[in-house]
Amino acid sequence: MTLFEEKLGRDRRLEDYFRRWGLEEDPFRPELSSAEAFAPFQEADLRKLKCALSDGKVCVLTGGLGTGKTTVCEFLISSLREESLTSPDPSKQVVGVFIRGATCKSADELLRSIILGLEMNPDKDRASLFDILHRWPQEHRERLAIVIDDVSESGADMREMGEFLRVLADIPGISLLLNGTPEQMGRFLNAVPPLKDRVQVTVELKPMGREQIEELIRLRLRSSGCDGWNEIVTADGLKEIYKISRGIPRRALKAASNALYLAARQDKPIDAHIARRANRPPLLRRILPFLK
Amino acid sequence: MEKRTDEKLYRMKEACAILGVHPNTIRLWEKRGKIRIVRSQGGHRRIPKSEIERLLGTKSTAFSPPKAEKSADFPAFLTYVFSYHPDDWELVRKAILIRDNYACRRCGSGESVDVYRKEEAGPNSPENLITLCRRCRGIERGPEKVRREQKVRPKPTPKKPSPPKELPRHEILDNLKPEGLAQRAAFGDLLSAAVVLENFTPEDLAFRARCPENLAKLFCERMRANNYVISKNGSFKLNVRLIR
Repeated sequence: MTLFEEKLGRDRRLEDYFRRWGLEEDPFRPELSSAEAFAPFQEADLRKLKCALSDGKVCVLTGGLGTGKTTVCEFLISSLREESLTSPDPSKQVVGVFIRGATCKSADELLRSIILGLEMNPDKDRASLFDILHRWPQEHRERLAIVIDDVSESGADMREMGEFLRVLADIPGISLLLNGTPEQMGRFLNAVPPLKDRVQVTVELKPMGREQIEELIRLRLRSSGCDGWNEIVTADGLKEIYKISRGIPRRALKAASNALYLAARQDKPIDAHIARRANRPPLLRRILPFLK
Repeated sequence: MEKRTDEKLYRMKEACAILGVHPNTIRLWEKRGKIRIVRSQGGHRRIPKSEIERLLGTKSTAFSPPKAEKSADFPAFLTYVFSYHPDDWELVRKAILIRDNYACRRCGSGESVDVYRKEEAGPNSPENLITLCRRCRGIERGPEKVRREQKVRPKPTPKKPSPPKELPRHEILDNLKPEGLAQRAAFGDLLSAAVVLENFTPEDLAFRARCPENLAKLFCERMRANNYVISKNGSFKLNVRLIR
């Protein structure tokens, strides 16, 4: 027992509620790995992205905050990896590297993190590291897919980064997937016209529809082993959660998580009333909605 | 000084002859409290008859061969033991004893037998291990070594694990020799999972790294071949540290 629990006592009511529904922990955690729970949406676009990634093309994925850009990227990487492990032919295999752009402060660091992602020795000078990528099609039969999350958020000079990515894009057998919010991506690509020219596939993630949000919530409940996964949230509750989220999956999960905790306190399934109360903005904001 | 009893007392030399051990062994036993020894008036050690009978009794029942016959699956069991747990001395010893029917391979007697290596520095393999009684063991090693052998503990201890090496990730992965880059990436995931878990079975690793179980098994096998893990009863312990 932790010190906190010793002083406050354990939250028996929450634990009982979770146990009754067969839950172990909050099923709506936003950081849950994408391979475990992922609601299929914009399927045609995802297929296009995956095809392009295994074909050595340059793709761009944009979308507003919380629309699931990073989740889609992780999902693509894990599905590529799974397929590569099962196919015996190396020329059909695609090695995926996932890089968080915000952690790379320069093109050099980006190069190093690509090499690290490939599990190779990064303690060499820049030229020989670049040589590994440059001679990729000659030395390896597998293709390489580099996915860079939030590329425009890195502190590096846009031109330098863009030039480096352009050189990478010209190597056959290497495909790139860049993602970011539409505005940032627009600014980034406008700064480097040669890279913008080479982008072949552009996909924008739109807010999800009502059925898709409902499917996402159900999928999360089902994969967490919930006993009555279609009873713990009523139809009204789902509708209300969709209304609160306005189709943004991250917001929907947050709202569902808040509602779950309130429902545990009141010991009821999640209905519209609970979902609304749990996600009510603070009093002052309700009275004066223009206050930020 | 202990009280005198009416019981027959043996001198040191006589006791050694009966028990078949070196006088120093008896002194050691006394020090460790394994034997009750009486002192004569001059301070010499005297061993009571009851103690000698007790020790002879325990010695003869040291190994009681099991009554059951060897089962038909025994060869498979032997292969399993030597391919997966060659370092687990207790298991290996038991397997060899069963193979040799708890009897000395030279003279066939079943008294005070144990498993020995033919070549001391050789590996634990079915060919290198043999069941011998203590006397035949002395003959095998040559007469002048008999006495010295008795001082040394009779069973060879398993090799001590070397302290964990420190290596960068890519070097470990190079040594595992993955086929293709996809497998290399999967091995990388498994290695990360192994570092977090420290003690693991292939199934744990496969679950954590989300990869097929046969790949996790292959990974564990290659890690063991490179001495990066210590295997014990089907589970593995990491014996290498990563440096950044």
